[in-house]
Amino acid sequence: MTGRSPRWMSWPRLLVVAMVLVWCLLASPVPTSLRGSGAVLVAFLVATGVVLGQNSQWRVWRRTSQLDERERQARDNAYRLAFRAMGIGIFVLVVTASIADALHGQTRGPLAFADGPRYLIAALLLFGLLPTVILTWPEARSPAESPSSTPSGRLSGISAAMRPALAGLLVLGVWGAALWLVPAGTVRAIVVPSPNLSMSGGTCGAVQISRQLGDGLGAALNISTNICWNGRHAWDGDRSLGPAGKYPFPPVEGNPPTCSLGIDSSDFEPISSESCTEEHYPSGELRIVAQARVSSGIDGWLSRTIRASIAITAKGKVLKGD
Amino acid sequence: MTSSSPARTRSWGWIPVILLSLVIGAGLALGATTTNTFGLSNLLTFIYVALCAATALVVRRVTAQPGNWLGRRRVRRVVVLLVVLSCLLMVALPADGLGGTVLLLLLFLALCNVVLARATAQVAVSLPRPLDERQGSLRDRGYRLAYWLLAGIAGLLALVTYFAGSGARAWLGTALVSGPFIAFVVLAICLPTMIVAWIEPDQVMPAPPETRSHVWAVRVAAVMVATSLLVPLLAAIGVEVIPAQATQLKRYSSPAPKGSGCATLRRTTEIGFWFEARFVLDTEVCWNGHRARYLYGMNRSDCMASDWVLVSISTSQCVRRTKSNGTVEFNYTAWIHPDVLSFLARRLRVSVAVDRNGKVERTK
Repeated sequence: MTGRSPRWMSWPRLLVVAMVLVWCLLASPVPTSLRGSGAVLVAFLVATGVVLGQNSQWRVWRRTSQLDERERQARDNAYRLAFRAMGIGIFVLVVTASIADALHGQTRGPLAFADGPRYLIAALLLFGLLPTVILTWPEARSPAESPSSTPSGRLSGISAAMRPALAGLLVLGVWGAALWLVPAGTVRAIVVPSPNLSMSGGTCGAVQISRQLGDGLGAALNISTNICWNGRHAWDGDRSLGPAGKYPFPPVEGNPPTCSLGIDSSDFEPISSESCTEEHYPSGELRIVAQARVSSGIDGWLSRTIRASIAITAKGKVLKGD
Repeated sequence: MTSSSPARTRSWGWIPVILLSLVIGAGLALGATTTNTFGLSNLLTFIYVALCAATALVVRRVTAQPGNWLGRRRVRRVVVLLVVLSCLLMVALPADGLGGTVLLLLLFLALCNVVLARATAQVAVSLPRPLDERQGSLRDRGYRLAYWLLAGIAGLLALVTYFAGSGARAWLGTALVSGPFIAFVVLAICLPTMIVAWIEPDQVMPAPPETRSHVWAVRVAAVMVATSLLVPLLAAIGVEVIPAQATQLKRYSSPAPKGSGCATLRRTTEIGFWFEARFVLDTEVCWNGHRARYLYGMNRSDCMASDWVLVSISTSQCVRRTKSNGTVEFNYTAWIHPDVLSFLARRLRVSVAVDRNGKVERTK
């Protein structure tokens, strides 16, 4: 065993710094949305965790009887520090979630931590990676300097150099496959009458439609739009009524009018090709159909379309959603 | 052989002690600073928090042999189970029903932690002395198990509540500002000690002889622990037994229309010491020989304490009425519960009656 002191800018230490920065980005209140890059960040953290695990010969996970005295002492010191750091990490996550919530203009406080998949993932990664990261820092060696007696040079035919990349790809693949296989949640739609939206002869309100894949860990199609109704028709609140209180834009075959959309990007899966159309029926009913394409982040591989539609009666009642 | 050397290993074990003291102090100070008129009580609160922090540091520095009784694994396991039960009770408490129960549980947990620290000879915390191989091995195993146990509990809880639906998430959101979070903080501090106490076998080795200075250090630590635990209990009992301190009723004449008179009446009543409540009767009454009437100070909004520290107050009666003979009277009755030992209660009555000629008939 060598007695050399660790080099300040060794590869493992650079990786630790990169991991800390990426984890901080994941847990940070700013930016308020990761715009679909969250799965890539998680894959990066898992892959670098595998690199550090290999570099430390997985000492954190090995039995005490498999370690010599110096290795055992280093591992136990890492666990002692990790135990203290874990409590501080949880506290930091709760605080940052509350700050992010405030930046969104909400006042849920710690509930934002419980409701945010981003913080759930950050906490789980913290628990899983912390001892390995702490173990790496004081005795970092670059892989080339690692002892040649590494017990896990090859495993099941996969070289050590390939394993981190495979772990990252596995995360993205499992995430994408889950996105593809998990059924989309039910459409949630609420109409909130708004006194700020007024139109002569009609009542207006804000409509919020949401449909989630994987309970927020996949993607979420969140639509906000304004509608009005007057008992005879329901129509897009951002347009005005035509003469005699009739809807001014009769449906045109093959060219449906588009509704105004506000789509929130998901933290973990990017949403693209979103569209929203309106359909008007003789009964005065308005049907809003929104759809978006969700991809797993690898060039559209394992992409999927999610769709949400609701119908609003001429009296402002949400009729159905699918 | 020693497993760690204090000369080479810097101890950061005092950080959680300070953090916990700050959290408790902030909570106490928050309760104490309802208004800023209780200067002495606020000072006492901060002195108490400083005493707790000093006690924790002294206890961590002083090592004591567990003795025959605490050396038994069965006894240690009972104490560990008591800590677990207390944490579960804290989790089960409704968020709006905390207050005194949490303070009592925290005191109990502090006592249990001191007992466990002694039972394990404080091997789970960093000490200014080297540990032997057996102790070092116990401590390290304790930390490894504690890490995965706490990470497992927290991770599983977060996962289950996230996927269980919005109701479960709402519970977790509330839990992060109530009893469950306090239980998490307690475990984040005490869990390694609890695990060492649980896994350590019966100690059959005779304790080594102690030096005279060490014996004194242990006594000082014991006195500080006893003081830290007893002072809040005595203050709570004081709410029940210390006589109420009431000032004389002060009467100030105030301008009045011709043929009538007006006066401002003031009186202050204080209950308890440190854990205390203050009621101020401050009312203006006018009279004209036929009847008396109040101008202010006898409304429902006046039926409350002006200041209170570490007590909760529940109103049982708040009545103002004018009798047929023209006397106006005001009665306010309240129960005062100390936040520690909240089953204790002290009844306080504030009462004043002024007749149609401006004479104060009675006051309490």
